[in-house]
Amino acid sequence: MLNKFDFFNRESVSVRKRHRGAGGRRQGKPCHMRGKSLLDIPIGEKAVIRGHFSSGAVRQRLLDLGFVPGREIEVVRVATLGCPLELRVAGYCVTLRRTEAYQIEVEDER
Amino acid sequence: MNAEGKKALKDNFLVALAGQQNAGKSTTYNMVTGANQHVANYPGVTVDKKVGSYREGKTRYEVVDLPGTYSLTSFSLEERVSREFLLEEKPDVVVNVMDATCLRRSLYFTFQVLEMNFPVTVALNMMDVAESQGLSIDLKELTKRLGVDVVATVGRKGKGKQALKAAIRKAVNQESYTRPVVIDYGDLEVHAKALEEQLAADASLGVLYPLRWLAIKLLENDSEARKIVETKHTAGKSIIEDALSRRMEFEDETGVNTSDYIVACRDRVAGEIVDACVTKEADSGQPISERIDRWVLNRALAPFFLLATVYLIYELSIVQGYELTKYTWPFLAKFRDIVAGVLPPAGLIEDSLLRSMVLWMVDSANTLLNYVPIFLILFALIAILEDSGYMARIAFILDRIFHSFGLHGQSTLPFILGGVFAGGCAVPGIMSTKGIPDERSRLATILTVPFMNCLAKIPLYTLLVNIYFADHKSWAMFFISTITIIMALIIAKILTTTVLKGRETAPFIMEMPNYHAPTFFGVAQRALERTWEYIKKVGSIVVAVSLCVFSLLQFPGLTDGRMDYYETEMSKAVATYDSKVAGNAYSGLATGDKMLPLLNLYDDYKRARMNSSGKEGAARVDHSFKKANPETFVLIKPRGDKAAKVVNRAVRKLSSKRKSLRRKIKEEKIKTSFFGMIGRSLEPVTKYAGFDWKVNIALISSFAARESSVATMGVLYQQGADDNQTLEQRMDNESQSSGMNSLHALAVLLFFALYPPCLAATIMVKVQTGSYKWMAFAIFFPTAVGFGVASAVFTLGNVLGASGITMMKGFYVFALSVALLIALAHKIASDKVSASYEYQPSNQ
Repeated sequence: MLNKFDFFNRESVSVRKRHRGAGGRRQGKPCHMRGKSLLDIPIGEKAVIRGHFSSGAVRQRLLDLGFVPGREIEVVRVATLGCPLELRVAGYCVTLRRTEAYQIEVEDER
Repeated sequence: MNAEGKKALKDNFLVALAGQQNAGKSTTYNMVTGANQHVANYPGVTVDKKVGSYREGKTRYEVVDLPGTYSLTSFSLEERVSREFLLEEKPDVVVNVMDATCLRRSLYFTFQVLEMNFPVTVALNMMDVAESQGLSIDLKELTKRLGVDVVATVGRKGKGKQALKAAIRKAVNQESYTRPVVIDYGDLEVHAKALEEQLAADASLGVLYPLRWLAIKLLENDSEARKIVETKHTAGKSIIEDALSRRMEFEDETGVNTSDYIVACRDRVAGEIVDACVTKEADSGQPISERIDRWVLNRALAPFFLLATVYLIYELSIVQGYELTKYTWPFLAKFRDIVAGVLPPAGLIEDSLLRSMVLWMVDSANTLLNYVPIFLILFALIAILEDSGYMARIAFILDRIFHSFGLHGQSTLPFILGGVFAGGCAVPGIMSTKGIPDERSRLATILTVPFMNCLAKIPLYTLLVNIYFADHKSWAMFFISTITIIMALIIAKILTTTVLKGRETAPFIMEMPNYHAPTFFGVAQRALERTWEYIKKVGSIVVAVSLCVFSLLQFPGLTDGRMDYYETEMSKAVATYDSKVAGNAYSGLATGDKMLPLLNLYDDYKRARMNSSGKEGAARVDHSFKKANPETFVLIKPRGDKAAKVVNRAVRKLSSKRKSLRRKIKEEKIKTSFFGMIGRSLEPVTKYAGFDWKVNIALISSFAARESSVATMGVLYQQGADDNQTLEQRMDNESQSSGMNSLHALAVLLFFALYPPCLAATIMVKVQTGSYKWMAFAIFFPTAVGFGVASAVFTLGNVLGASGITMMKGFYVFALSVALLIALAHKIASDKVSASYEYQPSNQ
């Protein structure tokens, strides 16, 4: 959508539009069809990543940081106001907001 | 053979330093290049480009420090910059700095560089940390598996420097490479090979880019790779179509996302390598970082640790730093005296243009340099916070709050540097926004940091509060220090939902670093570097602008008629003086040509005594003046000498008359100057905010440097200066006659708090955003907001007949509720999103 206030940024908006059309994960996948998200894991518990529902840069960054399907992940803590979560994956800690954490599908560790 | 010959002749090699964030790239860079480096920007973008070099015999190695990136895709600016540099400049060797403590993740990056067919040397950094964690890494096996040289380094301690240089030397001189590790993409190999063949049809492309890499990037649907193929390959369009259909085909067949599959393949190879090379000792309990974090990031305790830290920063830098300026100020004052001594001496009632101009510039620079001790301490503390790893934790704690207003957890540092509560400077604040990965939040931060209370705003605040809110001092200071952050948050929200809405935004995905003990040299270097940058950038600009302000205040100057009037006034005073001194034993030393030097000497002496401290200092001043002026000193400080006393009294009288005349001239000059005209012409508009022309001028001139607001006011409110009244008393007297009250003061305070950044900060906005449009916006938008708020408060207060303090309370409650409403709205909205995602086990 072209934002009428954004008089400095006309070009990059159109670039982004193109990106979106050309590929990546199909948008609008029904969310209620999926299983547990990271948010359903209690603090201090572990789970295994099953997949991602995010797309583009977020997905890439998560994969780069080791959020690869099949990996074990631990919810270490949440911040005072409950928002960013601290997760441990492959031996180091990464923080995520809730909005990104919803999009990581996990299954309980067996 | 030809290529070989070329290589042997070459004596200048390009070395690119690449790696992931927090892998210790910068320390490795410093280790290799030493002090020989400079920072520039990559063409067209605001990403730092650090270039340095070192020599080995006749050979010169130019080292470029690429921005730290997790991978080489085209999603973020840093990644695009790094990748473009590698592809365009084709370095002779890429030194991949790896974090030995998370080898598996670091390997993803290495694979990507290897896929691009670069000669690679791996610097395995942080070996000491890895050892302390009980990890032992088999370097030989790793070298064999990767097919490239691996050197173990400890960048912070400078270990492994020679080995790394040797490896670089070997890599650039190597004629052929042992084939490094190749990642097997399994089922995708067929598609990759087919695409590679199609790409090879255009021979020129193969020279420019590694084809296998391009083929895999096309399968990953990478936008930059698509662009390359589209523009550089004759059959580009059809190849892209083919890649897309192959991608779809693969996904339909296997049900796996192609990009995920590619990452998984890399991850598998990385896993194999790590399994073969790394052995971990039996777990030795919880790491120290985790044990610290259990307290420091505890949900209930975290805010207290944070507050204590911020308080400590203020106490050490602002309070103690201010104490330090007492020791440094005399040096600056001395510098001014030296400059004044070199310049042509002062005239009787008017100085030469050169003298007044240079002194004006020195004064402007001095007010600025006076903050240097404070900034040194502040920057050192910030460097400690950054190096230790607590800065990332501050971002973690505060992200929720900042995110509600469209900012980012990492906006904390710029706000702290800008002076959240009191004291700070927008220039380093804006400089430090570089680290924020989210473009939208970054711009919003850049535009709101100037609302913070910088050190230079404090004098005007204290002045106005002391005059108009004397009964409610603490409450007024509390109001000022918190209203700015509240307003900054509200305005950030407004900006991010309007003008910045279309900007790229990035999620808060941040690696939480382990705690490190900061090194003394690392901290000192960073503190000095930032302070020097401050002095350099601001120094040059402020000096240049102070010149403009000077001319705007100086010209067109007084009419000849007015000047004649002052001259006759002065000569009258001189005549009185002459008549008093006539017949005195010292009249030969004090009259005629000798009169003016004596008068100047008297003023210099007075000023020197004012600047000196204690009895000793006074004695020292006496001594040096006596030594320099053995004959006339007795007239300045007559001890029991009656004749000298008479002269001294006359000189004193003449000096005070001269001062008062000079002041009147200065005031009249300002009134009739270009600035004065602007101030007057703005009055019809600014009357809605209750500003008269004097306030207008003060506010306009404070654009050059905030300090000048008080200085200008000091010049403008001069009636009664002879009675030794303070500026506060004078302003009080004046305002009582002109009807200025606390409501006016509140309007000025609010306008000053929301006022556009000073000139140095606006230049920084230009540097950090890379656009003059944003610089212009950063000037006009806050002016409009500030004026709007000031007018609204003033007009409403007038209509209601409320006093300044009532309106202050009212406005505070209003702003606070708006901020809370925004935060609440954001919470409700995000809860709604989370509710829609809710996992319901019963549905399955």
